[in-house]
Amino acid sequence: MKLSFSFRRMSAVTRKEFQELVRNWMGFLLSIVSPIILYFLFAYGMPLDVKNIPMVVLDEDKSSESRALIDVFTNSQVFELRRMVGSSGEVDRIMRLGEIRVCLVIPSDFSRKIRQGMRQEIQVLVDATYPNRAAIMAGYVDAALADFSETRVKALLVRVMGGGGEGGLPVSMLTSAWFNPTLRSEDFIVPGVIAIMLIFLPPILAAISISKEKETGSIINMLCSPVSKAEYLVGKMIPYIVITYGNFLLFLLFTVTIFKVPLRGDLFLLLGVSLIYAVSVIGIGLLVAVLVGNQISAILIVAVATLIPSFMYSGFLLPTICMDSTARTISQILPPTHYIDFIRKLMIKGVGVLYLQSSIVMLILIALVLFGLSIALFKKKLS
Amino acid sequence: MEPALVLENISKQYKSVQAALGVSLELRPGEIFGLIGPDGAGKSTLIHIAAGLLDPDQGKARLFGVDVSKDPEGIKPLLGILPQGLGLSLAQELSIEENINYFAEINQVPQKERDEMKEKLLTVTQLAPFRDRAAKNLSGGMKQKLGLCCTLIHSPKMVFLDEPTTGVDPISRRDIWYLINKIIKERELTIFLTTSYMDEAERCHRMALMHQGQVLALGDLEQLIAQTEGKLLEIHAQDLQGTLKGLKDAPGVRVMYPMGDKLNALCTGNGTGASDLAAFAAGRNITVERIEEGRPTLEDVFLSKVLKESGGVNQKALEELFGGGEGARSSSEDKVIVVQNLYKYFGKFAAVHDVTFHVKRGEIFGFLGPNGAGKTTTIKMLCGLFPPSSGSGTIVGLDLMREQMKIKKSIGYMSQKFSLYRDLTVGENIELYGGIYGVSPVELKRRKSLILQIADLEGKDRAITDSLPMGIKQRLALGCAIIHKPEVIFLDEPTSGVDPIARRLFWDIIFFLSRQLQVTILVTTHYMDEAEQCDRLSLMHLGKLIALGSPQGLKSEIHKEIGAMLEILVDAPFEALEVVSRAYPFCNIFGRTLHLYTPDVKRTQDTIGSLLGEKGIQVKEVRTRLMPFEDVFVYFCEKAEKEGKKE
Repeated sequence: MKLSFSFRRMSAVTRKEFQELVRNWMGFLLSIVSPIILYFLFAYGMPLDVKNIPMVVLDEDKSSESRALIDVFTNSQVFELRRMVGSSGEVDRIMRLGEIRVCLVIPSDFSRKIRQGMRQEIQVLVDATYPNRAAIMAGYVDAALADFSETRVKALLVRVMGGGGEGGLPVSMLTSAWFNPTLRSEDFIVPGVIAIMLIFLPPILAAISISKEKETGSIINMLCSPVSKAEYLVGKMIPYIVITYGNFLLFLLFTVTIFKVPLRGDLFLLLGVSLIYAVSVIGIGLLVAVLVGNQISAILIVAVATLIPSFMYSGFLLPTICMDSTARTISQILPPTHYIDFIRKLMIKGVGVLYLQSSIVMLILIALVLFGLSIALFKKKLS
Repeated sequence: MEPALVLENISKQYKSVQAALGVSLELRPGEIFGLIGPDGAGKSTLIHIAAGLLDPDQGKARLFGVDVSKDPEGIKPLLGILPQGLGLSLAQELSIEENINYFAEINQVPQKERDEMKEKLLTVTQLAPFRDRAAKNLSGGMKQKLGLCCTLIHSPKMVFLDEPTTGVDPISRRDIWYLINKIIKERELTIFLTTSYMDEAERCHRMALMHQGQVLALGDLEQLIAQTEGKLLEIHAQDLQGTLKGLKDAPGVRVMYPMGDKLNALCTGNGTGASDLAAFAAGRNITVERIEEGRPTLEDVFLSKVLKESGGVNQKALEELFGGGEGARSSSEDKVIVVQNLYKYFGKFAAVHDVTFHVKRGEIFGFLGPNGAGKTTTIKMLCGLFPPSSGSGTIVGLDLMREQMKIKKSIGYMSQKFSLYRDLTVGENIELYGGIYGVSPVELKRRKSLILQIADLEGKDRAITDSLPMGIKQRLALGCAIIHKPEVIFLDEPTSGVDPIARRLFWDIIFFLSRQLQVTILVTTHYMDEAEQCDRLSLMHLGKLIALGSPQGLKSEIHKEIGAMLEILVDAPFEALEVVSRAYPFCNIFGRTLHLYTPDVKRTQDTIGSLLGEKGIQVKEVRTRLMPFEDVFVYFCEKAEKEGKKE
């Protein structure tokens, strides 16, 4: 078979696909707008910080000491004291209602034991419906209690030793968070959201565009024409790559302006590699459409193959380092794994191409394999 | 001369379906070759194999001497293909001109050449005024014409047209055929087309009759007709159905069926003649007007080839279904459907414009018109699916505006496309319809077995509906539509794509429902022979009712206005058309012949030879012919169009 590639024929396919896309304005609008909506839903809904935890206090002691303890909680931004409750029965009821996540029970002999310098245990009820959240909340409570204890110990030292005691406890930890000094979860999450949002809808649109032609039979005209496989498939995918890239540019703008994620690395490198990413995600849709014959299966397969694996295995939430070897292998064939790694390092760490080359090489490889395989497997025949 | 296309002993099997079995064909360059047969006969499979889209299990296809399976890409610049389905090959959002340009680019047609060809095609198809209209907004006929333009823009040497006229109204069909004839005359190309309309075959140079993957007969029309086994008798009578019932078991009659406004009987060899049959009729006290020997048409050839014993209509089951039990007749009103000044607007566009008619109990009322004329909209209003914009009407005495729910209970509706759920079993489909219409479980069980009998599906209620042959599916759909014993049945193109035998059986059921059970039937169709079997019919055009009457009545109306029809066989039909159409305005090209209408047959017969002879065109034969019903359709539509322009 002769290998020839006509740019004219390919651009005819591309132009026609573009015209069809744009004229069907409802579909076009949806293909632009729905990823944006999803982006905001994810970017706002995903932050992992736990803030403003609703809590109640059952203060059976009602002393200045108990009030001092409560103040430690109310002064932090982490807890939001809703109200004081009167009895343990009420505590039971409102915990069941689910409005309250943490309940602090201060026993009636609290101030007496404190004053006597005795060890005092405090009951803290935590809503553990979501274990992960419960663990984080328990951590915050622990920190608050430690803060209170430290103040008390300091006060005791001052009293016993008469002055001094500013040293506090003998050893304490000073964590310095590099790259994300304020530990803002947005900086971590939002660049990942860009990757996840581009992996889902664009390949579905791309797959539909081909499987629709298979379903209606309009592909027969292409199969019977001199258009080569590569001209047809690449030509047809270009509009979707462009749409994907347009979506990316918007997301980048929102990420930097609305979510204030710093862009410390090279902008042009980011723009270039993101184009490769767009090609690779469209490649997934293309391969699926080449393999299956109708729209519904194409949509389902793309959805199953992209969204959940990308969510779970790409390092979006969980670092790939923490995965077992099977999971890590899966993660390596997913384009978002490499892109998330790339974009986080570039935006947050601001590192240069030297530190990013493995991700970039992998993305190029995946894009080439997806398109190459699609073209090889596509037959100019009816099945 | 090297053949354009050679198919050698082609066989192809899909899972359980034998799509082609040992098919051998040869197409001569420059001819229009028709592959004729019902849905599922294997026509598309052959086209796909010939175009190199499908590899045969056995056999070889050669296009201009090139082995298609060895060098599929090599032949592609020579090909044009119009796949099956109205307008499916087009980019729906693109305009007419953009679609043509797209196909030109794909085939790398130089711009100058493209523009010339484009203008030519747009002119011939009369699409030029609409060049900026998006494909999705075109009527079915226009879509097919555009599809044809796209197929021809790169001047292919071999063109495959897969059912170019199925579902297209007679006027657009005529335009498409004009285009095909013109193209074949102007350039060197070969056309391979498929159709399920037997009457279209006459327009092809040569043809093959296909049935269940096999070629039954091959040749030109005369050769095929010469192959008919036995003799054809045409029986003219007032009461066709009664006559059919009384005569079909006469000795020597192999099969008898209604054909337009008469009955056709194929008789064995030398056995029965016209006089024998007339004597038999007299012996049974059946009055026939006359019986004469006829010239078989392609449909007769087809029927004679695939004839097999069929069970016929299960009258007992139908009678039992409609007799007794729940759901008695609601009124004794004679006019079952009454429609007065009906309008339906979509925005400013009047889809239905001042339509008035009525249908009597037990009548078969045909509803004809080009695609997009407003037939389906009218039927939807009559079924209570949406209210009219203005006007009034009653169905079995129920008001169209206010009693839509009640109307839905007393009518049955069947459309070609959406009636049955294909992935359900036969039994499940019947139960679904019974459930929808609130038939009680005990009663449903009884009716289910009756419907299985009617559809000839006894013991097959677990078969998946999609696996049934088209004709059986249609009968099952009809069975489901009458499960609640409706007084009125609406049938929307119920037989599109169904083979002639199954089509006749379907119509036998319709006749039984109408004649014996007094069920009123309103039916739409693009088959002209079916139209002719209706008691009365209406013709819609651009939302208006332009003709109303019995088939014979409409024919004689035309006869009064423009005269009788002559068929003229000439050596150069296109040049002849140009000459003749100046003297005779009602004239068109039909295969290798011209059809023209003249008020004075005798004079025309005498003068036509010299009229054409002066221009160097030789007249081979002139003969009178009965007016085909298609001409009734076209005449009224063209008349309405002219009047519309005057306004």
